[in-house]
Amino acid sequence: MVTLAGSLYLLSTAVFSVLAIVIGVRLITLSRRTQRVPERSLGLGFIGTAGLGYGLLMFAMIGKRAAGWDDAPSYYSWLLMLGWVFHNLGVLFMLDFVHRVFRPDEGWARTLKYTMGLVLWVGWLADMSTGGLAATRPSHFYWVAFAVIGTYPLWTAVEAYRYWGLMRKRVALGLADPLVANRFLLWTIASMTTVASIWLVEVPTFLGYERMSSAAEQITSITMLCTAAFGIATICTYWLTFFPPAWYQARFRAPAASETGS
Amino acid sequence: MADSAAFTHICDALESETSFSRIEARGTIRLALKSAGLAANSVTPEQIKVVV
Repeated sequence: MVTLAGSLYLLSTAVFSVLAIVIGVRLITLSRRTQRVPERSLGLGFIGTAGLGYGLLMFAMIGKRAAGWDDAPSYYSWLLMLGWVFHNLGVLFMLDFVHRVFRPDEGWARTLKYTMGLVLWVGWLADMSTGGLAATRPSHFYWVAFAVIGTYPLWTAVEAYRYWGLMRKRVALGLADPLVANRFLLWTIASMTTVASIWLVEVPTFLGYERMSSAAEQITSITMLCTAAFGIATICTYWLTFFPPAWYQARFRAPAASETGS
Repeated sequence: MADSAAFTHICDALESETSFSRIEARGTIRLALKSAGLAANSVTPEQIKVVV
């Protein structure tokens, strides 16, 4: 059970990281062509959080665990730290994307973006400087950083859901493309499954288990399976958002085509 | 947050062509835009044509 859960978890995270890099590179290429900042922010956000961030964190975790955790070579710790740096930079870009796209003229959104970024980095740096990387139980500083990590996709989800409502009204008047409107719903779903994945990983810690302890193996295997399921759901949703296959696009084109035909 | 030129233009037109006051005209257009999922600060002339 533990091995199966671990394998599924690793596989879904690996696929997620690769897809995030593919989407990120595609968005950055698009931003270079259009000279638009939101695409660049989202691309860098994807590459930072899910691509390099999760990718390096997972690689370093596996390596460190295989090498006996406490006895592991120090470069695994450096890789872990580098993974966190990429992840946290990615979160900043994600926050920037949400602000620029959904609330570009709102002062409170700008303040929220900078406050969340500051809280994240202060919490993480304080956690690192007090031995957070090797700690078996997370410090208070870790939870300060987690307050941002666990909530920033919620902001995305709320804004995307609100915008989906607006887009549906525009679609009814022929002012928006149904496929584009649907992207906001997909974006909402992907953000919610991301939130679920982030929180589920922390369930053993919430229940008081030490990190990497044998006592936590059972609960960890369950949470890893659930996290993998949400991870796969996120991958599928992002795929439909950024690379919608023909059959999916046809679902939104068909009614208009039949109306034209009749 | 500044209103778009299209919004200002249509409000001025509504105010001059009807007995609506400035506030009534702007409020009416804002309600129409809201029901169409649009906002006064970003609406374009093409969108205004469809809504109003």
